[in-house]
Amino acid sequence: MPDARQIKKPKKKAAVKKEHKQDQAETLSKEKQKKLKELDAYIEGVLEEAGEDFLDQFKQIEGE
Amino acid sequence: MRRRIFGTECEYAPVYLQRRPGPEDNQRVDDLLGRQKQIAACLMTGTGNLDIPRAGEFLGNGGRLYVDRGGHPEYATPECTSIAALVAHEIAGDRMVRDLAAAMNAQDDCRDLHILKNNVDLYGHTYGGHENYLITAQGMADISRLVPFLVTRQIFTGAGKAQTFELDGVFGFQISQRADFFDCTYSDRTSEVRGIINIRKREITHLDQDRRLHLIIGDSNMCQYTIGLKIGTAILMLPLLEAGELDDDFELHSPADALKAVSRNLDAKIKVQHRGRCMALTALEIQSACLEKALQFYAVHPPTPEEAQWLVIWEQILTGLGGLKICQPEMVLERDPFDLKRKIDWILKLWLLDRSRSKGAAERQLKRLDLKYHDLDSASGLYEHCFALDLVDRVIPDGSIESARCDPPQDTRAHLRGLVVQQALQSNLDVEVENWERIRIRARVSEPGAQHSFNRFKREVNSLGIDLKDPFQSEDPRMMENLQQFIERWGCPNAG
Repeated sequence: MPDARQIKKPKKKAAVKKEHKQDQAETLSKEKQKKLKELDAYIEGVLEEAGEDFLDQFKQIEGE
Repeated sequence: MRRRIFGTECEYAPVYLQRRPGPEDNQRVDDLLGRQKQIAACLMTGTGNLDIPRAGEFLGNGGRLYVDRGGHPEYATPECTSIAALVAHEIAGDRMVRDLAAAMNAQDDCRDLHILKNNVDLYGHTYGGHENYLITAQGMADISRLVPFLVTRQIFTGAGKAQTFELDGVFGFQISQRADFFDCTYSDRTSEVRGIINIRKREITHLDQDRRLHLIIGDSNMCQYTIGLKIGTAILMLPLLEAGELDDDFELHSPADALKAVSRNLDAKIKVQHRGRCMALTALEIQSACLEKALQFYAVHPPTPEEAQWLVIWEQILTGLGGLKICQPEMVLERDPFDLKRKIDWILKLWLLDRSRSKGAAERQLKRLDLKYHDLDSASGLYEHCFALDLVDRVIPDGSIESARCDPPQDTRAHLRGLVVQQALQSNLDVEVENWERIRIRARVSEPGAQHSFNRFKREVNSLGIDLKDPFQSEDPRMMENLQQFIERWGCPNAG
């Protein structure tokens, strides 16, 4: 009996660990999605700023 | 030579964007050069308000901040001996210039000054991101053997460029910002006719024994890893060159053409002469051959821990590039299995452009996105946004960058230069930094005619010349003693 309990315990732990890993992966994925959404919102803002005449604003003089 | 000093220079692009209607609305700037020079000069005067020690053109961290050709504010790092220190000091310079612009914006109701760290505007005007390495005279004599490495390294050092190509008027993406501006292999000029190897002789030598290798071919980089790779791989290759371990194995038929071809197509075949045979190789194949030679060399000559670290990174990046798939001719990033967009500028930029293209962005919008990638402003820069969102990898902690704003590297003459600049400024003394090798401090004239620096009897008394001939000399007790005596005699505490 003690042997059986000993065998069962690690199995439970492994299952918990796996679940924990899955949760972590889901959280990471959610976090990444959130970041990408934020990035896309920012990019959209930059694209909207690109009027017909913006080239002149960025004009430079030749350097080295 | 295994101990080496190196540094980078960056010419920034100042850009005014209108916040609300003001005097410059709808007006063309007729005197662009005049305006750019004025902006750069204003930036320089703001250092005092931001507690950035600066004397003449030199800074308390041993670096240099000045106005360069074309009215570009330019920052040169102090002399470094480690890749980590170089990355920290280059980014510290970026942040100083960014903060100086923010301080100017606080005084202006109508416009925002933005500083771009890139190398080309949309009219085809270029400005540089230069590198300097101390190398042996023998290394300089054999420098042609480094050309294949320099031409092909853009596959991991390029900053990316979304532009309309001059030749056919077609919009496209290039790996490198600077590739189109190089016409030959060697040139002593830094404008008009640029060479892959700049052969202008410079004063920065190690007691006249060594030479300064000045490279103007590289792009200015935003990603910490890309900066580290650009410098790190060169640092790994130079000992091979100096030891005569680089032979003429790969002689490029036309280096300048190869530079442009690779920039347009990662898989472009470059014509090379290999042991008497004509072959066509990709940039990745040539880089892999360079890495192979480096691995053989360092198996016999044990690398420093930092060299070993960058050897591994170089290998990982080349493996990652091998798995990269880019759809030609549109240059669409199809596969990036090693997530190189977290490390390499041009891949990150291409990924960002692809994301925008898929949402229907027009050509002109993509061009704007390209420029905004290089904006140093943490609120409006595209790279900075990715950095804040943790979408890019870091080489060094933020604390090292903050320290590098004021602290010079401890193991080169930059340490002495920085100390002199900081101590003299604290004591209300003028500092004239004549060049990277010589500093003069001078007492301030309180009354007209008194202790005038041009008084032939007193000028030797109220000024002190300091030579920094040896780039590796970071301590000089005798010089420091002279400095302390001078400060005690002529200095007075800075009232702030």
